[in-house]
Amino acid sequence: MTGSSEIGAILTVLGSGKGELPAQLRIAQKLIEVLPVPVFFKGRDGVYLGVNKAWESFFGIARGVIVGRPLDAIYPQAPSVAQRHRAMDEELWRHPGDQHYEITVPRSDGALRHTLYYKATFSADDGTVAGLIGTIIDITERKQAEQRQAIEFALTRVLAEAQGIADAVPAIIRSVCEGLGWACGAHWEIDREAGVLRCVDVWGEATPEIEQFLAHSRQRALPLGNEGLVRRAVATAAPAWIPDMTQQKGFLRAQLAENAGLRAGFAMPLVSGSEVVGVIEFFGRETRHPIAWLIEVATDLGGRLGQFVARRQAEQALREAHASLALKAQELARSNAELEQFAYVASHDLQEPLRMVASYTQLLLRRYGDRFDGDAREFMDYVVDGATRMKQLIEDLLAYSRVGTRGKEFRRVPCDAVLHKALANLKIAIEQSAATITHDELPEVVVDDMQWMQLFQNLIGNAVKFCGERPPAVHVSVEDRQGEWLFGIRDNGIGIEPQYYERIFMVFQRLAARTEYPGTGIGLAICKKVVERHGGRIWVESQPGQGSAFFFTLPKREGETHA
Amino acid sequence: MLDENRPSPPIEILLVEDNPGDMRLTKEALKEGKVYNNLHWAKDGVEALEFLQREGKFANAPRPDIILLDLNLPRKDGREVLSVIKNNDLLRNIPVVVLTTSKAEEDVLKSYALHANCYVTKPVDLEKFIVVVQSIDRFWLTVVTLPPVK
Repeated sequence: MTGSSEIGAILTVLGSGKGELPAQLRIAQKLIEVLPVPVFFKGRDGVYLGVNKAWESFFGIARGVIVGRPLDAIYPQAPSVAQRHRAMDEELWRHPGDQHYEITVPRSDGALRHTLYYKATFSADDGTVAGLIGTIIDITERKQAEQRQAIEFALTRVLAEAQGIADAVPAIIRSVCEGLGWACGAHWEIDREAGVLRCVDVWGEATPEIEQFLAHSRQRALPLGNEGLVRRAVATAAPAWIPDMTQQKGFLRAQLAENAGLRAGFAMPLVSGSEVVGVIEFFGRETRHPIAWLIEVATDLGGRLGQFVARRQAEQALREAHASLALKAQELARSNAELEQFAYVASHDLQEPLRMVASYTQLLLRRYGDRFDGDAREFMDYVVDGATRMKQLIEDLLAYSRVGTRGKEFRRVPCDAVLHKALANLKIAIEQSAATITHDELPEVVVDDMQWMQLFQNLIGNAVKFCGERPPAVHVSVEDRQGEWLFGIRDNGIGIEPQYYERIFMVFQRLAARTEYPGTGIGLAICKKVVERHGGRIWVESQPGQGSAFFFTLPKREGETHA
Repeated sequence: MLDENRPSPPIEILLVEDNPGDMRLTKEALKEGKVYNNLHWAKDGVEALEFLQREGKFANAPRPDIILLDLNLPRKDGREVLSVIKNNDLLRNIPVVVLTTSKAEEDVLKSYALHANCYVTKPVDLEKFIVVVQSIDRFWLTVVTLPPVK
C-alpha cells in the first residue's frame, strides 16, 4: 500500500487539483471539490497540504497562497486564533482520532465567523499519524440568532422590571455586553444649553483598565459634533459603529480605549420623536464589524428608551415647575399673611394715640368750651372730626385685614337665611330710603356665613345708599352655572362710569363726595376679598344714571344643590 | 334694691392701666359721669396683684368694688391678672371689666374664655366713654345684686 509520503502526494494533488490521480481517487477529488463545506488537509508538520473550493471562498484566500504554509498565514491579524488552532492540533497529534470545537475566526476581510471545526487524523500504512483532515461548519447565523434572542430576551426583562431609566440603563448595558461578550458601556445625556454630552451612568467588567476608562468617561463632557462615536450617533440620530477605535480619527478617547484594550465601539441613540435625548455606547475588546441585527435591535430599543427618557425629563420638568409654583404660592401666602398681620398690628397700635387726641380734645371742649371763641370751636371741631374719621379708617382697615386672618371655616348654609340676616342689619337704611329688595330662589352654599353675610350687606347697603332721587329697587339674582353659582345684585341707582370699574374694589377708593355719601371706601374692597377667599371673582357692570349690577361667582363645593 | 336717696359710700375702683392718659381720662369720665368714687391706680399687673393682696405699699388698700382691667400691661399682663383673680376665692367675686382697644381684640378675647364679667371697647368719643363709665357704675353697683363681701 502507500506510505505517508505517498498519501501526502495524493492529498497534495487532491488539495491543489494539480497532478495525476488514479481513477477512483479522481472521483474522491471531484467530490471534495464540490462539497459546499470548507475542507482542508494538513500534514503532520502543520503545513497545509490542500483545501477545497468552499474553503477558498469561506476565508477569501486562494489555495495557492495557503498550500505549503502553516496556519499563521491565514490569521496574520489574529495570532490568538492561530494559537488556539495550533493547540488543538497538538492535542490531536497526542491523541490521534477525531476532535471538534467551536471557535470564532476572522476571514481575510476581517469579518468574524462563528464556526465548528471537525478534524480527524489519518495514518500511513505503518500506523504512524500522517496528518489531519478537517472541515468547517459555519454556525455564525445560528450563533447570532441565539445571541440576538438572548439579548432581546434580557432587554425585554430589563424594560419590564425597571422602575425608570436610571436602573434600566446599567442593566441594558450589562445585558448587551454579556450577550455580545463585550467589555463595558456608558449612558450619555445631552445638555443642549451647554452644548455638551455628559456621561450619567456606566457599566463594565471589573478590571482596573476598564474601570479607569469608565471613570474617565464619567468625568468627561463631550462637545456636540459629528465625529467620534457618541457624537456621531447624536448628530445622525442613528446607531454609530467603529470597528477599531484606536484607528478612528476624531474619536477623542482613542488613547484611553487603547490603554484599556478596547477596540470596537457601538453607540445607540435614544430617540424621542425626532429628537435624540441620550446615547448608550458599548465597547468590545476585539475589532468588530457592524452587526446588522444588533443595529436593528438597537434602533428599536433606542426608540423605546428615548420615550422613557423623554417622559422622565418631562416629569422632572413638571416636578420642578410644581415645586417652584408651590414655593411661590407659599411665599405669596406668607407675604399676604405678614401684610395682614402688619395691617392688624398697625391699625391696633394706631388707635391708642388717636384715642388720646380725640378724647382730650373732647374733654377740652366739654370743660372749657364756653371760654372758646367761634374760631377755636371750629378748629376743635375739625380736630375731633379728623380723629373720628381716622378711627373709622383704622377700624375699616382692621376689618379688611381680618377677612384673611380671622376667617372661619366654610360650612353649608341656606343662602336666603344669610341674605335675610344682612337685610335685618340694613333694616333702618332700607326703611329710610323706602327700598324694595327682591331675590331669586337662592341655593344652599358652602361659605364662611359671617363673611357671606357681610358681602350681601355691603353690596345691598351700597345699592340702597347710592340711589339718587328714586326709591331704590334692588334685585338679588342667582344663576346655576356649571361648577359655580353666579350671583348678581342689580340696583337702579346712580351707576358707575366704566373707568372706575376696577378702582372701586381697591381699599379706601371713593367716587362720591363724602358730604353726599359718607363712608371710607372699604366696603367693596372687603367684598372682593371675601369673594376671592371663597375662590370666586367679582365685577361690576353699570349704566351711569340707570343703575349698577355687581356680579360675583362662587365655586360649587361638594354636596351643593339648588334649593 | 338699694335706696337711691340714701347716701352711699364711694365706690372703690381699681384701674389697672399703664397709660397715664387713659388713667386720667377714666378719672375725668367718672367725674363727668358724677360717679362717687375712689379711683385707685395700678400701672401694671404686678402692682395690681400687690394691691389686691395688700402687699407692700398697698398694705392698707381697700377691697375694690370693681376692677377695670386693661389687657396689654408691662411685667404681668391683664390675662394673667384675670386668671389670678378668678382662681382666688377671696377675689373671685369682684366684677372685672376688661378694657380693650378694638372690637377686633374684643372678639379674639372672648374666644379665650377668661371669665371676665364684661368687655368694654375704649371709645374714641369721650361722650361715649362717659356713658360707658356711668353704665358700669349703674350696672355693677345698682342693677346687679352682687354677692356679699366675705
